[in-house]
Amino acid sequence: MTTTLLVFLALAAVSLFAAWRVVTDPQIMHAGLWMGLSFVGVAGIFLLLTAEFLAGVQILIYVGAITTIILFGIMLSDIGEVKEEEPPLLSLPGRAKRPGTPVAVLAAGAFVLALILLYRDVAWTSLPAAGTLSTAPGAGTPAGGLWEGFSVKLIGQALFGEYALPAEAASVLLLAALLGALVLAAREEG
Amino acid sequence: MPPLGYFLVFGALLFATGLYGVLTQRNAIRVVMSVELMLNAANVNFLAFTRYLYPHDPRGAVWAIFVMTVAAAEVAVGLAIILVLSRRRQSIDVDRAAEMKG
Repeated sequence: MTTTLLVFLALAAVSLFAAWRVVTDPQIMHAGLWMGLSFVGVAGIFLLLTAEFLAGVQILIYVGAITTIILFGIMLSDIGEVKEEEPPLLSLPGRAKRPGTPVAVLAAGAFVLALILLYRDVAWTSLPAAGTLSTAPGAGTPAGGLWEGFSVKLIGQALFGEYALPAEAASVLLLAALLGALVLAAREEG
Repeated sequence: MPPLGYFLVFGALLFATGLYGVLTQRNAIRVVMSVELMLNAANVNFLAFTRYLYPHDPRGAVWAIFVMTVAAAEVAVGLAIILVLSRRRQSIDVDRAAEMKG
């Protein structure tokens, strides 16, 4: 068992456990913090995949922005139900606290099972760079060269070359989301 | 280096956890959190496939960046909607929020 495998297993265990706590922790603030820990674990996985730029972006956006905004959203709300201090005001008749849990377990389990079966059956050899799907250390690394697929230079060239239009569309989307969130949140103040 | 399958199974498990959360939670904020977990799992798959099958190709990373952008926008708008919902309806139970007209 190599060191990277151990690191991978540790990171995967941390992020999966944190993700599990997100959906099970009775306190929603704790669930938000667990979500942040899960994002940090995934950032570690990105580092293991040698995507250091993506790992940095993951920390900045997911841990820095998304977790913070969700925690602020919980704290700024004065409704007890948001903070899960109170049970829902009106429980729908005939529904338990966690409706449809067996269905959800079945759906999630079937999803994982189907994906694993699919992964086992796909002939990876039909894809380019066949043979990189090996357990050998550094599999897929170009011989005698540094790994380039995730270099900031290549990503930047792609973003402002081949993907210039989608990048502009993404910036418009962010602007629209900013304005939309402002309008939605400010409307009630009158 | 662990084989590609390990990363794919990790992504599948993370996605399934998010899926379970989306299906079981009634608090809208928890549903948003679960959706974020699912988007993260998709990014893991993007980067794992790029790392193992498409060396010298930045497209997987570019798509992961787009996913993060959309996730940020989704959280901003989603939380604004949830806060409006909580003000107007005094409830953010997704089972009770069945109409968009206030």
